[in-house]
Amino acid sequence: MKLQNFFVVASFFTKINLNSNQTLKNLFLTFLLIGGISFAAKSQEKITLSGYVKDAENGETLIGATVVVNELNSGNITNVYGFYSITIPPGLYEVDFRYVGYETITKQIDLSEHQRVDVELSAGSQQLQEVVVSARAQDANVSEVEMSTQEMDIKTIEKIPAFLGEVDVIKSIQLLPGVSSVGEGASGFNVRGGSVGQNLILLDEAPVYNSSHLLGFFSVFNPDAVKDVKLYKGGIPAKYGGRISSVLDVRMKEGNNKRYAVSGGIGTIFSRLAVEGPLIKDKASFIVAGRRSYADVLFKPFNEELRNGAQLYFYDLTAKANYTINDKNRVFLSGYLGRDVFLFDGVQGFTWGNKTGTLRWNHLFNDQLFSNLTLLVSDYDYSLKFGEDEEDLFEWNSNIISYQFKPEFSYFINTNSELTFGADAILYRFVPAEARGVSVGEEINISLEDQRALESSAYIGLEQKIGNLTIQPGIRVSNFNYLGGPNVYTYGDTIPGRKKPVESIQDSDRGEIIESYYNAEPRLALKYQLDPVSSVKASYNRMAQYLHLISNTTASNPLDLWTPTTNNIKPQIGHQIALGYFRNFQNNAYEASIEIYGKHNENQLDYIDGAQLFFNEELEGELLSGTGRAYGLELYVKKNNGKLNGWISYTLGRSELNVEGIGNDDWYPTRFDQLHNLTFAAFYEFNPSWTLSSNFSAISGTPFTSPNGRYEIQGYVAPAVDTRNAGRVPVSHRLDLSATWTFSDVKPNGKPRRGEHSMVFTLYNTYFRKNPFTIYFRQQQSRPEEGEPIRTEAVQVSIFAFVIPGISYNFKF
Amino acid sequence: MKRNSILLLITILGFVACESIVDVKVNETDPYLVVDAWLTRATGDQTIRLTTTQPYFDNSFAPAANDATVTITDGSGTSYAFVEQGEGNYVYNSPDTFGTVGETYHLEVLWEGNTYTSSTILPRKVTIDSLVFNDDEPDESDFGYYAEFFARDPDGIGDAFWLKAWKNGKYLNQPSEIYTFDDVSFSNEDGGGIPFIFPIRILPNSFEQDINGNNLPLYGLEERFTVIGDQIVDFYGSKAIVEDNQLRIIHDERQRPQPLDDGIEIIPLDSAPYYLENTNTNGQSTVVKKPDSLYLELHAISPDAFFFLARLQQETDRPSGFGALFATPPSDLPTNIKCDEPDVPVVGFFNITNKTSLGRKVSEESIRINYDL
Repeated sequence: MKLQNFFVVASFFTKINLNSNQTLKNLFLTFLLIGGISFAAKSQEKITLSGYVKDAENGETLIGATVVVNELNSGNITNVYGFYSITIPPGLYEVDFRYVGYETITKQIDLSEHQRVDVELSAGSQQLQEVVVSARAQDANVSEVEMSTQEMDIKTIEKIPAFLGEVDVIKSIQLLPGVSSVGEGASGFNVRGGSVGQNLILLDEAPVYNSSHLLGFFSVFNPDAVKDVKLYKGGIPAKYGGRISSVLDVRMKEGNNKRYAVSGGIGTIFSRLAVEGPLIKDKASFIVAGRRSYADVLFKPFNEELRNGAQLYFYDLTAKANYTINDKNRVFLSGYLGRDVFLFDGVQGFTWGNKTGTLRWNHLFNDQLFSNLTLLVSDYDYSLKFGEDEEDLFEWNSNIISYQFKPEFSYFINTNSELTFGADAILYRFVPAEARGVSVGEEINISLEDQRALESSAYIGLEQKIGNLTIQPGIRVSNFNYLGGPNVYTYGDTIPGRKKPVESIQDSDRGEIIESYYNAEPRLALKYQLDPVSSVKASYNRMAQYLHLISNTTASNPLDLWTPTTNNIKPQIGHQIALGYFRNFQNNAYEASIEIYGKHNENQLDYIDGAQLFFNEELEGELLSGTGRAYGLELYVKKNNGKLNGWISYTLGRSELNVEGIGNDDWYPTRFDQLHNLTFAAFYEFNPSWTLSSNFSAISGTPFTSPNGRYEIQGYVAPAVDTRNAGRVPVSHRLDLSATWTFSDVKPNGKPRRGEHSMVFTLYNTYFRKNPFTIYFRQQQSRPEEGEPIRTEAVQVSIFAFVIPGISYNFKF
Repeated sequence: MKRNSILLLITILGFVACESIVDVKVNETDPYLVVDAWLTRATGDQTIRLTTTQPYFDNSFAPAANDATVTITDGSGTSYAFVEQGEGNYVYNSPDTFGTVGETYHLEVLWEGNTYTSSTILPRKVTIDSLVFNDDEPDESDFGYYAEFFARDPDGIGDAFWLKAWKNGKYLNQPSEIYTFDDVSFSNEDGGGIPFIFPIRILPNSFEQDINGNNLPLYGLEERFTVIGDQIVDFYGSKAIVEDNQLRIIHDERQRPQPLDDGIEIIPLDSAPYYLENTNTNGQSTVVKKPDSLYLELHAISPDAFFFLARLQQETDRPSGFGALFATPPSDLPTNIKCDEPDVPVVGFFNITNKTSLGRKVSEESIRINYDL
């Protein structure tokens, strides 16, 4: 069986390479393969035990719960839908169902025919108050083949002190090794020296094109509706594709299917409310969670602009429903709607937001073949509007809309091997600018043409255990077609420091394929178990990215433009190799890891000096293409339990670009290059009522571009610049503290208290550190006087100069 | 458009972003030639300025580039020699109107053994039709009237402009006051000219604040302030003292704990538009602000010059505080000057503009009321 699998994968691999120009043929091969596997499985004399593992309290499926057959000392873990499948010889077995923080259930199972066993685990009363740093099996970091991944469940995220007392998914993952951001207020995050636009962010399978609210201070994910967050920094499985740096996979809660529950919070900056409950008990449930910020309401009495109609707020609404049709079929419908609004007089201003909708169907073909079919739509847009009446106005909308169809299959062959395969088709529509201006009643259309593209891919991956060795080979084949409709430009060669000249402009027909790209993306992960408490792992992945986030500002912001690969912009290709050693101590109380990684990226975009990225039909002429590299070392030590727990993370990293036409063609650091990044996160449980948390981070300064001279022209002083990102801002460091007060179960008058209540007090930037965001250069602020020379100066910007206190009250009924 | 909106947004945000002037070590390179050659179609002196680059934090006048030979040649082969007049200025006195629309002009500079060349085409001009001062609010506006000028973009695209403004005779020379625009951004597809659009028409309005953060008027009618003792109690919201032919605005800690970096503290008297008037026999005096005036020059420039100025503004008008997040990193300005030795750097720009002008004082006739009486 093992050999057979190898053969199939290997032949698939070589055939793809040989025929990499024929997607249809590839798809055909995939189906051939599925047929072959099913046939192979029938010839086995083994019995399958399968089912779902759920939380007894609310019926939520548990992701990554361990199912162990004690006699064989082997088993499996539940997938993202809580499903497991174990195929073993017939017999009488003792099977453990485990999940950290929950009471283990042991079942005697007489396996003589295929059996479906659904299990509900109860949260252990003892462990409930403890911080669960990992939801996985206690030794998962050592025993799983996965490396360079970080998983956080919502209980951990809730313990981390965040800005203004609010729990935040993305701020939390920034405390992990290899993850950083350019600074406070920057949208998005950077993984292992990759840019913000190289992260694939999924919310219930739907891509989220901008993960930030209020510029970068909060993320778009409402923690009340989030169940599980997993970040892949390397060793990315074949089922993911489309971005070269990382995958952040966020899973939403399904909603309590036992009883109605309400949770929420009232905070300094926003309030939250989530309602969940059964639609049909144990069969169908829903969750609806919303947030709205109200700084604008609170500050209205103090701010004249707000009183005059200015608006400044964000909101989001997350909703999900699921229905278990029968043992074999379950459907999920989830949606997200979020919006940030900045209006300076009620009409004029700036808004942006994401909308996603996902329909999924989990189907069990048999006990071993699990499938998920996803249909989704995701839309990110921003719009600006100026002008007070219809006589004189300016309006600008920009969108990226994608429609996606994604069948995925997991085939649980036996306890040693699991096969995953599937396909993915995404249709994109890009609206760079839908804009009009009206001047004294005369209207003009200044829109740019829409662009369309189709991305399709197929993948297959295998996880195979052979004694102490686990291997996970996989391949993804992707194809991107840039479709006709808009004018097609061709450009001449790059002249250093200048826009590329337009050589021709041609019409194209709607739907015609203007340019097509194919990429084979092999993936490989290896684990060798040295002993029960330590392992070494290695991984390689090649990834292709066909969407590009265009930004040349100091920090990524909501106006950054997503643009497709075209006949002029080549797909980004990323290669990554990672090696790691994983060791646990004292019965998994401590876990430690060391990883090194190296990345080589092709077709990385940068910009000519003074590039005009908006309203520019010839945008492609302002882009430069080069090579990127990043390498680093990550250390991670975590204490999993006890009254005091937490982790220390350290990253040593470099991230550089080499682009023809910039800085004498030398390697230069990226804007998010940070040599050292040290983080401490600690949680201390004083007593059942009080928990203290703190996190401290110290990060090397990010680069800034500095001038090497100045000159006068027309009475102004201009900078002379030769290299990018040659200067460094000083080191940033910051300590945040928080205290959580959980109300006791009994009221002062002796009566039992209904529900769970807590108050969170936070101090952000406890010791008033003015962390430098960037340094910029300018001529004097005051009006230059005739006969006096003009002064020039360097200015350091810090986003926060003071401690920011925060308080929030949270409840759950 | 984008930038202005973001700056407004940031003002509303009122985040606690903080700035401090810091000492930074920056690299230095050997100085090289700077050609500042902006001529205008007119009679009289045409000046080209040649200087060199200097270290970034050298806050002295730009060093002059001396002993250069500067010549402009037009399409018909006629040469105009520019004569060195010291401090890097090279002047040609044109007896007739210098320049013909549509003609190509070549610049040649010989300096320290190298030849620097450039060329430009003189563009067509556009006339400013009118200039008004708008009154949008029935109640007394706290910032005065805002100026709006009208002109019509001619048929066909490719016209670009630099609007220079003088308020009360003083040239508005801050980086934020580089007012440029081109018709590409608002013309319709066949290039048919339309009136300059709204945001362009109100470009020459520059907010100024005193050290307390109170707005000084954009453009206003005559106003009189009674001086009691040596004090004006309410000078646009601040207290001010009259001393030695100047008006000193008193910093009020309650209004703004830190004085504004670019807030005005001293206003000279007896220079436009403020003067001191002794009216009363009992020795009481009055500070008078005469009606403001605005003088505009609309310079038609080449599309390359437009791009250069837009870039110059981008490099000099740096968004401060939280806005720094939205800034692009500094980078070299484009130049249309070439050196015969490709490895010798040179910066600067050569352009001949074609201007029209219009000036007006704020008066009952020039104010346009935009509300129902």
